[in-house]
Amino acid sequence: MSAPRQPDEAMNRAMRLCWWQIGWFVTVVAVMGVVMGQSQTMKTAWIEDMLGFVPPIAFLVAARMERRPRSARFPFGFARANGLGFFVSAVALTAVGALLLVNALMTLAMAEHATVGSMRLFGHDVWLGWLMLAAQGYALIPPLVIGTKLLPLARTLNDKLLHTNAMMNKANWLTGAAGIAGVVGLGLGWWWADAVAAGLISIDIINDGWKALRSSAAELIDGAPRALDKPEVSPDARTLHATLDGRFPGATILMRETGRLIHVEIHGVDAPDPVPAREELWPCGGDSAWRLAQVTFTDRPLERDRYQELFSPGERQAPRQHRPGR
Amino acid sequence: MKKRVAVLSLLLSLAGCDALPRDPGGTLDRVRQSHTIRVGLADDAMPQQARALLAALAQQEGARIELRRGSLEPLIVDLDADRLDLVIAEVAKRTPWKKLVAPGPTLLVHGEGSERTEWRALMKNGENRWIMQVEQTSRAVAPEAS
Repeated sequence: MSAPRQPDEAMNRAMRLCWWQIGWFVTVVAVMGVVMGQSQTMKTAWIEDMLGFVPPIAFLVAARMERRPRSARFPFGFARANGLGFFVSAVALTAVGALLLVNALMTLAMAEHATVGSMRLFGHDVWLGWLMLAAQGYALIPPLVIGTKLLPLARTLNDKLLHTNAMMNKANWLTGAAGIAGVVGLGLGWWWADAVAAGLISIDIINDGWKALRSSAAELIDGAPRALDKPEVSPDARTLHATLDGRFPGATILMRETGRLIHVEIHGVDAPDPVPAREELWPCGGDSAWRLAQVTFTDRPLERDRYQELFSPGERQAPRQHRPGR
Repeated sequence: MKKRVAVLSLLLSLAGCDALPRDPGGTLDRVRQSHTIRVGLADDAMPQQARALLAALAQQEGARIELRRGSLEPLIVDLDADRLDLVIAEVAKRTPWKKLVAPGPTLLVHGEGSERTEWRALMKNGENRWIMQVEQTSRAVAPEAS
């Protein structure tokens, strides 16, 4: 089977967007840093913006590494760089949610009354809250725009690292919105407002982060391919398994994922002659056949086990009852 | 879209009528109702700039100054417990009290480098309208120091 040809245009577009994201985020971090003062909410939002750099940088580094040819020290190439970046980004996203939640709970528990004073600007005394609102309003725009553009690309490329980046952007603009509510709340004398808003939003972010963390950990330890946005086995993998099962009855079929690519081992059958084309084996449309990176045949049978039950029709009805590893 | 317009209108109206910020503990409202500003002084004497600050605040709010002398720590406890509205003190540049209170702009500086001390008004954290008013007045009476 020849090397898979991935959609270059979508990949290049995703890389351009990540560079734009880094550029925009530098300006956001600078503006937020200037006006944050002693506000804990603003400091948290600022730290979160800093963590927002992790997914695009991880994606760009992984994309660069993936293109390197295999070497003596890395004989299987660098396709797993994407998976490693996915794991790092998932940790960053979960950390953002956890940071936000801990900060909100501590603010509420200690009944901290945040001080937002004034500063002299062009000869006028201006309440710092207005500048914070302007900064937070500006900080909303880049993640909202870039996150919206990243999502369809993540689906086209089936790239979980890119999807986590889109989720991080969502987390950033949601936190920005909570920050605006918080500063207005502080201004109105409701010291608890920003902590409550941030606490509610942190639960959503932790949920996204936890799902990404489970999927990325599964990928790193050769778990079956996971869906883009949840840690369940992906529909593509199920369809592929069913197709191969029909074509090679009695064989044991193992699948794993390295970044965007799926690798398959078919145990218990001889390799067919001629070897079928990738498009012939991939059941989910020719446009995405590049995802099937490798199919290995070995005539030594492998005992059918609980992994196989995962893909049996009965199991599809109740997938949580017999998961592998339980 | 309607929601965004409503939020924007609310923000603009809040900006226009100077409604923000407000005090969660209502310090400025209390000063205006009682016509009294309760001040703690953490020293025997007070520099001219601090006297000017108190005089200007009293004039702005039509209030009289009720002065109480004492050590800095008990005065900060009273400030936090709403028994004082303001503390005037000479503090080191790196004083740990900065996290427990909201220090206003510098009124007067003594010394240099690590030996530098600053006369400031200290307010209760979070009383943002009152803090803003004291900050504005401090900058007006001691523009060189701040």
